[in-house]
Amino acid sequence: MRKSMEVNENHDDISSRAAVAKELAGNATVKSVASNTKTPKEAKQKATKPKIDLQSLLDEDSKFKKISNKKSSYSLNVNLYQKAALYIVSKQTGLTKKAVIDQYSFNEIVKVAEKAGLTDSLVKEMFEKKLIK
Amino acid sequence: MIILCGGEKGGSAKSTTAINLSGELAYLGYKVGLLDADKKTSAKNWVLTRESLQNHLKTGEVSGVLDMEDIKDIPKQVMKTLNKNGLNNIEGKNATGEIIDIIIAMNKRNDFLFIDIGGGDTEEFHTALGMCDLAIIPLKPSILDYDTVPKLIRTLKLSKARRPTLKIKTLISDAPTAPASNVTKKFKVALAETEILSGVFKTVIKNRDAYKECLNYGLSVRDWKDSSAKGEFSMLAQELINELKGGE
Repeated sequence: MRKSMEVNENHDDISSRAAVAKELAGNATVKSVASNTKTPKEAKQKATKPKIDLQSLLDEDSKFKKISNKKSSYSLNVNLYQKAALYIVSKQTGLTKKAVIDQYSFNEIVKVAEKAGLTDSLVKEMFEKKLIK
Repeated sequence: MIILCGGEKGGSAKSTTAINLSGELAYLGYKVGLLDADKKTSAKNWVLTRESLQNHLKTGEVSGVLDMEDIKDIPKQVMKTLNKNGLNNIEGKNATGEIIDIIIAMNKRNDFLFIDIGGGDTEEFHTALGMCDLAIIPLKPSILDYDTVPKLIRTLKLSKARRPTLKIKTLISDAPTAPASNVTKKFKVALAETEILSGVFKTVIKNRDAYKECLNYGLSVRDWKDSSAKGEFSMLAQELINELKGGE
C-alpha cells in the first residue's frame, strides 16, 4: 500500500472545515432527511413494476393518455400523465417535486417514470386513489 | 484528501467519475473510500456489486448482488485478469443529510475519499463543498448542462467566499468520440468566460460504452477491456494527483 499523500500545508484543518460545511449547508434549497443505511445484499435493484396491473382494464378515458391535451391547474401546465411521472420520480429519488422539476425536463421525468413502470392505466389508478389530481 | 464529484445537473457523469477515479487510485495502491451521498445510490450499488464479485473471486462462491448468470456475462479476458490479480478494495458507504461525521471518519481511514453527490442544489453538495480539498464538476458539452451553470456558479462562489483554499476543477464528460467534433473546444471557451469553472482538466472523458458496461459488475474501466477508457481515467488520475500536490 502506498504512503498517504501529504496534505498541502495551506489547507485549513478538518474541524474548521466542518464548521464552514455546517454553515454552507444552510444555503441549500433542497434539504435532506438524514440516512445512513446499509442495503441488504439481497436487495439487488431490479426494474420495478406496478403492483397492480391494470393493463387488462379498458382505458376508455383519453385524459389518462400520454398525449392528452387536457391540462389541469397544478401551478404547472402539465397533464395527468406528466403529473403521475413527477410523483413517481419524486418518490423514487426522495426529492421534492419542485426539486425534480428544477433538475430535469419533463421529457426526462417521463422517461425515468416509464422505466419504473408508468403506464396509462397506472395513471388512472393513481388518479382514482387521489395520489394525483 | 477529500474529493467531491458534484454539480447541479443530473446525468453529467458524477457517479461515473467518482467510481472510475476510485478504481484507478485503488489500482495505484492508495487506500480509497467512496461515499455515496446521492439518493439514487448508484455508487453504493456499485460497491455492493464489487463486494459480491470480490467474494466470488476469493471463494468461488456466489453470494450477494451478483448471481452466476451475471458472472458468466463478464468477458473472458476480463475474468482471466481478475482471477490473476484480484480486485482492489474500496471502502463504500452511503449517507445523506448530515454527512460531516462520516466524511471525517472515512477521510481518516483513506488516502483519498471520493464523495458522489446527486444533482441539484442539495444540502449534501453544500456540505461537501465545505469539506473537500478539491471539487470536480463534471459537465457534458451540451446546452442542457450549460444552462445549469449560472446557478452552479452562485453555489460555488458562496463556498469559495468562505473557503478561499477550495480548489475547483471542471471535467468535460460524455464528449463526442469523433475526432472532427469541435463541440468540446467550444464548450471549453464558454467555460473560460465563467472564471470559477475555467480550471478545466486537460483529460476529456468521452462517450464510451465501457463506462456503462463495467458498472454492471462492480468494475471500473481499469478492470475492463477498453484501453481508451482506461487511458482516459489513468491520465485523469495523474492530473488529479498533480493538482492535489499543488499543481506540479
